[in-house]
Amino acid sequence: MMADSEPSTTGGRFSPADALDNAATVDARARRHGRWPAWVWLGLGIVMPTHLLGTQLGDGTWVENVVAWLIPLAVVVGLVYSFVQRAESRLTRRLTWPVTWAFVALVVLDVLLTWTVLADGPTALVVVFGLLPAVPPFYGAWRVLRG
Amino acid sequence: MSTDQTQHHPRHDLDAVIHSPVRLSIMAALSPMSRMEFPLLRDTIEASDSLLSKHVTALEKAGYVEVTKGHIGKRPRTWLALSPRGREAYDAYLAALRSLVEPG
Repeated sequence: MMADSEPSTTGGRFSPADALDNAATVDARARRHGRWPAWVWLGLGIVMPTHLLGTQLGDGTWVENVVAWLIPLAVVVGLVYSFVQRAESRLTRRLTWPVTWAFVALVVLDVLLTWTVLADGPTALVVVFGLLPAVPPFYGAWRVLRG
Repeated sequence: MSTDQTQHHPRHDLDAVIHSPVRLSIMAALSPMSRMEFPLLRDTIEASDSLLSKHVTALEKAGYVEVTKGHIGKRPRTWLALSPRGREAYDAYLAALRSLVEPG
């Protein structure tokens, strides 16, 4: 049914069913290339709560010093990783700003609460609010990896 | 077969611009993406630079693909994306193919 004037591994003759199969295969292959933000979000979802909880609960210990370096390290790694990527999926473009804003808002909320209300408050709440910023990036990563 | 039946056969809905395996692959690869770099698209559809370039030009002329050229540092980069018109044409093409595979 379909033929190309030049040879190609995706060339040759296609029946309609073959054409649909080929389109689905190429679509899936392209989607895989667009999944890289999921790994950035997963990293963010692990690094930020570790940093927040480490600085809040590891007062005066070596833990505080170690986690303080996590953020600049993660930013550099994330930027380099993003820079070498060569595709952007429609889904990640749609999710990037909502995930980013929700993440930033929850980080700011956590910082404000631990400075004020939770300064001498119960550790359980510090842990809960420290873990909350991981929710938006984990949600974004889940959506991208599932798609 | 009557003239009416001939006119309504789903094959008439197949867009001649997309009607080549390489062009269909280009459209399929760009469909879930907002943009993709030329070398990555080439590797994804397993085509040569010249073959991809030739078919991208045809799709660009039809208004189905948008080509953006730029530089990051000194390195030239070419980004490809489906235009809204291209997206519409690709969806219609897939629908026509499905009608052929699953008539009725």
